[in-house]
Amino acid sequence: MSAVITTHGLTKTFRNQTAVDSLDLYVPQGVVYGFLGPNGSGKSTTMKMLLGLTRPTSGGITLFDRPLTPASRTDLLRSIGSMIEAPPGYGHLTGLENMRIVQHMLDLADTQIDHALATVRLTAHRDKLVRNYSLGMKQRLGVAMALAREPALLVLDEPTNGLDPAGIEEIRTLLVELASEGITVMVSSHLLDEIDRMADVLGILSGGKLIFQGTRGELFEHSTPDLIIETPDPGAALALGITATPVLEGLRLSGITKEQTAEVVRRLAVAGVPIHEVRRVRQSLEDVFMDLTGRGGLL
Amino acid sequence: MLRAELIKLRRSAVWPIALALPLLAVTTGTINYANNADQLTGGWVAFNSQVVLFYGLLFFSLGIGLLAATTWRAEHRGTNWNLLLTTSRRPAALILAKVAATAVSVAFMQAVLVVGTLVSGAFVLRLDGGVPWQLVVVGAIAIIAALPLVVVQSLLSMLLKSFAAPVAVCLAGCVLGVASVTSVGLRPLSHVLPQAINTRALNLGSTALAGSGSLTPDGVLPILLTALGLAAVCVALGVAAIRRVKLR
Ligand SMILES: Nc1ncnc2c1ncn2[C@@H]1O[C@H](COP(=O)(O)OP(=O)(O)OP(=O)(O)O)[C@@H](O)[C@H]1O
Ligand SMILES: [Mg+2]
Repeated sequence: MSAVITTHGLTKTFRNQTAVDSLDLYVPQGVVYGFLGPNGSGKSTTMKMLLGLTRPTSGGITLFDRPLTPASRTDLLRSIGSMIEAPPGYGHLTGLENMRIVQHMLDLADTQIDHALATVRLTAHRDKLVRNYSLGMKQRLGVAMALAREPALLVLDEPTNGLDPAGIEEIRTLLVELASEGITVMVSSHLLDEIDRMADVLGILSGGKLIFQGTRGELFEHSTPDLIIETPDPGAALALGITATPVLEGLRLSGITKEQTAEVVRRLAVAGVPIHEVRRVRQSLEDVFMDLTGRGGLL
Repeated sequence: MLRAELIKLRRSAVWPIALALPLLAVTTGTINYANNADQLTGGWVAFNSQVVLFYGLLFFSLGIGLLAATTWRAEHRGTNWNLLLTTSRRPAALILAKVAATAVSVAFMQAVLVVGTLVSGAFVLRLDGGVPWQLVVVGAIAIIAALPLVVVQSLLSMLLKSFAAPVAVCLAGCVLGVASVTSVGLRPLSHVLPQAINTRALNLGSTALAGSGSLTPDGVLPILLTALGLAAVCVALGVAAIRRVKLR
């Protein structure tokens, strides 16, 4: 798979704060790339740099195998649809008039505008003033404005922000559909849950650093869920010097490997501590994410 | 690009502004003329001079500041600025389209002034004589003379990302403009200060402001040429500025 976006040591420093710290992103062609991170982790800043809206302090960006420079920017942007931080839109104009503005600025055909509006299901509301749109409709108009140019790459910053579950599902379906047509989609969120089911590849940011990049399966492999040892006599186990937290069923052990598990079980058995069950806690991706961003990462 | 800007003018707040200011000027001019009818006997010329006196010194230039600020306000709202900067248009095209859109509203403001003056003169004051063509010519010349200020205010509104700040700068320019056209010492300034160029253009052939030029090629051409030259220089500066600023 060839890459649509690659960055090398991409860094942005504001006065004395490093918002984005030496990112090496790799976004393959035709995937939905979920760009995750808590508030203030640098997602928007990274996306702005990818669009040439703000200049990196250091590091480089390659888009479609071409380095992003002030000279190549104009050309590259023709095939990139984007929405950063919040959907654009002129409140005193109708949805269609907003689309016409995009049309005239990019010399698009009428059919491209109609198609974009239909894709986000706004055709019926196109003659309403945007200031009277609901949040979800504004969000969808923003996506339509990004889609109108029939981009090869779509960069969407929190497109599901403020949407209800049905709205989130709708955007999710749309993005998966676009990716299946070969469009590369980079979508950010601070909620893993929101992009979990659509992202093929995840990039996780924390404090400006990329702490994980890979598939969902790879992410699970990186994490060690807690171990639960069910025993009626946790006191005896703790007396052996095992580091664990007493819980209702018995003991809970964090961050221990398979080998360490075997060793603990052997010691408990030798000491005659009754063991009813040994199991790993079932972990959601959200737990992994929280764990990862809390610990400051793996990479 | 210009078509996109013209769409943005629909239902825009520029229209009430472009309507109110010249109507205010016509109203005050009419009242002034009516109250001083014994001293002002010049008919159309005297009446028009009353109308353009304050309009030329203040309302017109201030109006341009307000129109430019209003046109730009929508771009600084939310993320519309990002939308503009990702359209892959040249910065120069962006600035020129905005300047042209603002100039359209300025032209509308001038049309309201001229029509308002004619209507008030003919039907309220019932002035004698044929409809003075000079009024229309001066109204049109003022649109071209206004271009430097349109460009400057447009650039200020673009760069300062504020509504009030560029209008305040414009107002300060108006004050300086008044000083430059009324005092002999500052007179050279009135040839390059955009606000003063407006004042001088609107007062061509006026009897109310001492030292006004006459409505002849000798009086008109220098104004038009400086206006166009100055506007071109300002656009060039603006393009350089946006190149540096937009990739901040
Ligand atoms: N123009 C700026 N000047 C100074 N600091 C900035 C600027 N823009 C962003 N920052 C800082 O950079 C850091 C990253 O901000 P950014 O907006 O990229 O985060 P984010 O991941 O998009 O957060 P959120 O989920 O809240 O949108 C923040 O600490 C922010 O305060
Ligand atoms: Mg953000």
